[in-house]
Amino acid sequence: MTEMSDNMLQIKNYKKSYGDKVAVDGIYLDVEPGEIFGFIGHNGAGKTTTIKGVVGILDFDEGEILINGKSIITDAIACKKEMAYIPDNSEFYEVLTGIKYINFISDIYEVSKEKRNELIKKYSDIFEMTDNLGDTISSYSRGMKQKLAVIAALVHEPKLLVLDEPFVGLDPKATHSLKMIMHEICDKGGSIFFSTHVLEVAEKLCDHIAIIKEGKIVATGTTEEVMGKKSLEEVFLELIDHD
Amino acid sequence: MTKTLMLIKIELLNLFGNNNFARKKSGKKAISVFTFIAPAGVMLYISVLYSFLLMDSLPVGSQYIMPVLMTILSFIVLISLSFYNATGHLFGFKDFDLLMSLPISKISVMVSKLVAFLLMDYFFALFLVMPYIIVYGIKMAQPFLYYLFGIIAFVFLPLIPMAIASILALVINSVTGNFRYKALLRNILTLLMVGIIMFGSMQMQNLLLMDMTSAAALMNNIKIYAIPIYYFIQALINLDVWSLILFILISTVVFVLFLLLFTKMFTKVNIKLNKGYKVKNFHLKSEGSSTRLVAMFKLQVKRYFGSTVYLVNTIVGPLMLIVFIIIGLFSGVDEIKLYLSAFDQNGMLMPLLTVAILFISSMCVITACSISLEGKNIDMLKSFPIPISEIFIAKILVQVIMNGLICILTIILGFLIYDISLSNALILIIVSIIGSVLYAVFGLVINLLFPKMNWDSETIPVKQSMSVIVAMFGGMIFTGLQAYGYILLTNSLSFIAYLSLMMLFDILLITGMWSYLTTFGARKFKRL
Repeated sequence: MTEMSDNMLQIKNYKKSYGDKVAVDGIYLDVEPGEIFGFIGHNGAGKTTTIKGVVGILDFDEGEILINGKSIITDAIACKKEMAYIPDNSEFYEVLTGIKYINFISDIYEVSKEKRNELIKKYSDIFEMTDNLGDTISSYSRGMKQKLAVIAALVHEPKLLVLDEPFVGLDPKATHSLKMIMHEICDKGGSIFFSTHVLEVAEKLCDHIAIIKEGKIVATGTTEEVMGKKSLEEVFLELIDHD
Repeated sequence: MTKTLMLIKIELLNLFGNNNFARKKSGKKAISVFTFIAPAGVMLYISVLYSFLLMDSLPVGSQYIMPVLMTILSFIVLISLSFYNATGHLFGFKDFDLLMSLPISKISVMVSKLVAFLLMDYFFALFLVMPYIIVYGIKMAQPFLYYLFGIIAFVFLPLIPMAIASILALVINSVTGNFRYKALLRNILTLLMVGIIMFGSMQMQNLLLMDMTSAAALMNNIKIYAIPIYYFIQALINLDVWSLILFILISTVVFVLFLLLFTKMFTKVNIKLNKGYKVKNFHLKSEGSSTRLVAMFKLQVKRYFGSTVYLVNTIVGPLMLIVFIIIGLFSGVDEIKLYLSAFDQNGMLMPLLTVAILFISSMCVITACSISLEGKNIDMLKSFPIPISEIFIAKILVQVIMNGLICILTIILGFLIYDISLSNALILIIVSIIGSVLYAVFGLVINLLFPKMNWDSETIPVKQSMSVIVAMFGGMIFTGLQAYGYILLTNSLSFIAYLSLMMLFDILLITGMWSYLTTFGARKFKRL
């Protein structure tokens, strides 16, 4: 029986192995409504494996992941409807145009015609992509693909936005816009769970932070609690270098 | 030079998909080897079988017709293979930007692509050409010099087919590069090209058959229509050194001319192909909405028509049905009606048409690589709030609609033009619908069992993956077994009774495979 909770995302004892190699070793995390949660770790620490488990791409060996109180294992479709995922390497159906892709995502998430038209206009203007939506995705630069992924993720108004390295490839203006939108989602009661290597961004943007090392959480708490009187970079390097 | 060799090595590993062969488990190693060997095995089988059959059926003194026919066949097969593979390997390959950004000369990149491509042609040619050269040598007790000539000529044989096919691919890619609907235009041009190659090969065989009795006329036709083949044959049969030299010269000149064109156009065409289409003055309009399943289906249709190699590989078979009907219009409807009526009186018309419909359906397994073709998109697909069963249905629908519609259209044309009775037409329509669903579901099951998610060119999952080979041969064998069952039971069961039993059996199979897909299959899909 799943325990009801107010948290937008709950990860309980999540464990995932690839063959003999343990990628994530029984981690616990909670993301509350209105919170921006930064997930930090070095390459291969288990960030993407955790994120893929959260969004229902990966099966896992042990544990439980709840999205707004629903299990991603037993109630996957309902969970997925409430969240949006932006992967670190935005892969697309390159034969489609930008607008066709967003429209496809809107259909999959069952967004009404009125709502999708309003939100496509809003976000494509913010990210200065309106003029490019008629082009095929194969003609897009990496940054434009990332912007398209963000617009497509926002068009169904997710309660939980899960992002894997979202700022990679974005220009400074788009990065700023995305940060503003992340705050806007949280102000409306939504939550953000994202991984990043850019510690300055995490330090300024996040309410909560968790640091993962070799599949285990080595530090978690509010940004102030994790940092203490040091910078996030100092804390991170100390934890990562410490055996 | 070292860099070029390193690039060639990487190209070959990519081409044959064995870059982590040493680390694969024994089962997967076996699959890799089979995927690699199966097409070569088919060619070897065709070559040996045809060589022996022809040698045994030709009268004494005319045995040289066997290498003539086999060389023509080899040219056609090599042109078709190279033509299919050129887009993806020589043009429009995914690592173009990466390779051009490396501190390697443009020539090294071109050479590596070309050498790997040529080696692939040699690999298939080895299984296609060498067997008939050996068979002829043994049967005709040829001296050692014959085999020496054979080996030398073999080295130059794939150059012309490869050059012709690559130039055709180059023309198509350079013409379509700037169009908005470039995929559509490329599909149409490619289908036209396939049609021309097939028509040309039929014409060539007609010419040969017409003059089968006259050795001089036969070689004359070859000399007019296919000079390189003429010299190749002269060199081999008569051990004529000058013919060998002329064959080498012609092959080399054609290949060098191709190289000059290729060098000039390589970067230009690939930049054009990698650019994608940009629209001027785009304005947002009100967007319509669809249900999840329709949206997924539309995506699959776009995917299907967006990939020429995918489309051509699966649509040529069913389209041939319509082509035959149309050819019949010009070559005498009344004559065909007489044949059909004779078959009908023997009770063989419906069994034959049923087998033809099922056989064509089994050759058009669009679903056999539809999961593999998701490639790196698979993670996004899995993150969508849509049941996996709906993704499967969307993929199955593409095949059922494409294959089913073509079959139904053919049956309607047969009904209108060739007086196939209404009841027979209706039965054939039911058969084609059940057959389409059966092989679509079967293809999906096989693709889940043998997925190939990492690839650089769509040609690899579409033409060189285990799932496509197993689905196609599995389907053809199953159709053959159903036909064989009828032959065995023909005295105890009427055709309609047998067909009803078979269709019931097929529906049970579909149900069984669907329940596999929605349980184990869905779990396997999640683990991809």
